[in-house]
Amino acid sequence: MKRENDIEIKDELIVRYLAGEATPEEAMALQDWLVLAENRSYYEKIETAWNSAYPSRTPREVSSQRAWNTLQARLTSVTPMWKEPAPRRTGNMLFRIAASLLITIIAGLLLYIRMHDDKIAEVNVTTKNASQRVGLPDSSVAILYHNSTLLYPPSFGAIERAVRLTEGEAFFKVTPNKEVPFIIHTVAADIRVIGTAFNVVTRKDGVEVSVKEGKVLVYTATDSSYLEAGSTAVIRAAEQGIQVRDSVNANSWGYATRQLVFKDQPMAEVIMDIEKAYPYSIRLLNKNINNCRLTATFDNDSAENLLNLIAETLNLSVAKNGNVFTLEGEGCP
Amino acid sequence: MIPIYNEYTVQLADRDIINAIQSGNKDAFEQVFHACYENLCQYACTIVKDMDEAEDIVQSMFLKIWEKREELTIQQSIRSYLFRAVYHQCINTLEHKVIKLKHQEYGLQQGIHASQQPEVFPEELSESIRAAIDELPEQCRNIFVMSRYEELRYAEIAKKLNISVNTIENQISKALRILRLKLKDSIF
Repeated sequence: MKRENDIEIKDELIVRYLAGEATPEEAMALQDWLVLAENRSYYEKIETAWNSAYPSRTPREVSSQRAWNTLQARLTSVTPMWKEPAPRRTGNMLFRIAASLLITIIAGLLLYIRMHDDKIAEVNVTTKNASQRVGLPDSSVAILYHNSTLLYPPSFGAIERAVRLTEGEAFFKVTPNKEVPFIIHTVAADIRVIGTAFNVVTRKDGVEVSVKEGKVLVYTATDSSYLEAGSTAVIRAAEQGIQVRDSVNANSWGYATRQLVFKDQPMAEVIMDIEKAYPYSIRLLNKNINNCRLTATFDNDSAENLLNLIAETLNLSVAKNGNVFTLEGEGCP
Repeated sequence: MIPIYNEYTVQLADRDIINAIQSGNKDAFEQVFHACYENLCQYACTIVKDMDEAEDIVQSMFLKIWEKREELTIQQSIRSYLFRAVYHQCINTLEHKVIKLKHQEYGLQQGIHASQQPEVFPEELSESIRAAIDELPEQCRNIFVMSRYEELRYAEIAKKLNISVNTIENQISKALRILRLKLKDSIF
């Protein structure tokens, strides 16, 4: 039997089928097209997106064998209609067992590696043109931005956990430990915390501390201040005292969290935030793109993906060349 | 063109099968059933949005064909015949539902004020997907919500928004492209 019609399979047809708008001819053409594995995997990507928007509406599997057994009774006799309950999926259970086994194995492996990890000498981490994640001895984490230096001992003592940020910028996620405070020494001020996440920017003329979670104590020789989550402290070497404001720019530590949130943000700012968070630069072929405003949330997206999403949202096209992304299109008036 | 062979194409020629079914050959009937049943259900389910209902529709159609096998007249291929029959039955079912819904809505409005706006998203939806849909460009979002959550047909959306079906298709495709990109980096 030949194909009913040579209907071209485009994204629009796939979407039409999923939305229940395909004619019988289109549905047959699509189903024939799906016989090839590569076509099917392409289709399934779109189908997954469609289903993800309404997971409980994901069609369950059907079995022609089971249906036939049901139907057969009705073909030959006049027995009343009955229906078998839908089969319980056992695959899920198997997957869970496999996943928990895997977790156990990984945990064991990590424990093994830790126990056999030899002590190393005094640590000095300096970054150049890339961010770097630094695991500290108490399993706290520092993410160093470009051109930054962090010094820390190979193991922390029992009284305090002290590190030094001598230049640049770093985001800290400190493992809670009430007994042993975590202290960051910088040129202009010291920062004392118990367990929290915050960003520290050191400049020639001072330090800026912004808190993402928890509480932070910032102190200089003459002043001290408690910072709550969502606030920023600015300390200038030339001035006395600590200035505190009730806001943070969460995107400024996107290099550490890979989380960027834009609410009707002008593109010029969006681009600055992205260029800080990712090791790529962005070029605009049309300056009208700068007039666009973006509302979007990105959580651990790859740079490619993020740019593709922005392009899709603003009707632009995107091209990548080395570590430069170029955006092209009409932009906004 | 690459010839495509599926379960169905390697079976008997259509004419022979139709003749066999007409003369009461249950094996021939079963063969067609197994070859087409699952695909028909999947297609029906896209229209009626419910697999139980889809299976009911497809099974009833097969039952009817068997009961009236002697009068069976099929001009096209058997597969086309089945797909068309299922399509018409699905559309019928939808139209009945619309009528029923209108009655229900009428009854509801008598009782309570219809002022409270129903939540467009199903409760199960994760925050990240809600956010992704909320952040779609406005027209794209509206059309997607109407199709996916209000389960309106393209024709109904076109009428409501006074836009072409073509625009609807483009916008829903766009919405899915954006969602796909969003999903790409998250673990499911």
